[in-house]
Amino acid sequence: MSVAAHELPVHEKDGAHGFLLSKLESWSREKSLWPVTFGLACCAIEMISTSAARFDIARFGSELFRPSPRQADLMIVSGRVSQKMAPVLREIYDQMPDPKWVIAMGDCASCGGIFNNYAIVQGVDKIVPVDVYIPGCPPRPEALLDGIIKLQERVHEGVARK
Amino acid sequence: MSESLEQTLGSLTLPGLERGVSADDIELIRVAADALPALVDAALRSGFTRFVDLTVVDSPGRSDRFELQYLFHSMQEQRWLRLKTRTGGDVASIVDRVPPANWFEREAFDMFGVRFVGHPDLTRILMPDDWDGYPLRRDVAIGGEPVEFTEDAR
Repeated sequence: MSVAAHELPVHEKDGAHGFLLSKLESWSREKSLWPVTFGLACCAIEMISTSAARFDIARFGSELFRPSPRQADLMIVSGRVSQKMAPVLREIYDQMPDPKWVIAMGDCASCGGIFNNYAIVQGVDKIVPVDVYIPGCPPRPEALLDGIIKLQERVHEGVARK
Repeated sequence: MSESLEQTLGSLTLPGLERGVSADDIELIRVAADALPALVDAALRSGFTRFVDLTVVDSPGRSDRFELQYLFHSMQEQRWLRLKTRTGGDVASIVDRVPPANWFEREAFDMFGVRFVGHPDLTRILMPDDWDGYPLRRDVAIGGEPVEFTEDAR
């Protein structure tokens, strides 16, 4: 018997199969958060360090920075977002398939940081929903890894953004 | 070898011409805004062929509120030259003489609203196209959001 894709039962937590499937689903999402390649400022340098050998983001399954938002489910906003960059950022976010998560890395992405002026968006949460905020100017790579682990815990609990 | 700056300037009569040395020890020539293209021509003929920078200083309250500063460099003489002029809003573009000035003039227009007459494409370069106002003018608020700090904020 053939069924249309939207009729496939996956999310019911009452049945044993559904429960295991949802566990498997969140486990696989949690352990392979693929960030979109999206560096904005000095925080991006720390993000690059995080993905390099010394800190090795691959230990947590997030080493695959995808140049296409279609293949990514995590956006690390690494730096200040200018008013002119804001619509571009939103478009990239909209292009990412659901479910997707956002990390606001650093003070600028979280609240505007030291740039309280006409040019900078005062916190990226004005444009996209943010799951994890990482303080620091810029945060050390360990802080970004900690943020990713925090996000993994959220994904594990099944907190999905729509 | 081109003629020296002294020779070039000696053969011209430019309104408001004043020579001096700037605070950072760079040779400086002031001129009335109308005479700026002629002065730029003279600088180019004298070997100052490398255009380095264009900056604007805003003094609100004056009718000629914008002071434009053009920085040139001579690679033959290893010598710097700064040209200054004042304007209330309009000044002749030097893009036809100095093509690299194109984006500098667009930035000055974007940030201060100085209109460069004769510029091929005088549009905003940094701010969004539909932005209202000129953010680096001194009488424009800095923007952003008010932040409330208290003494014992932790």
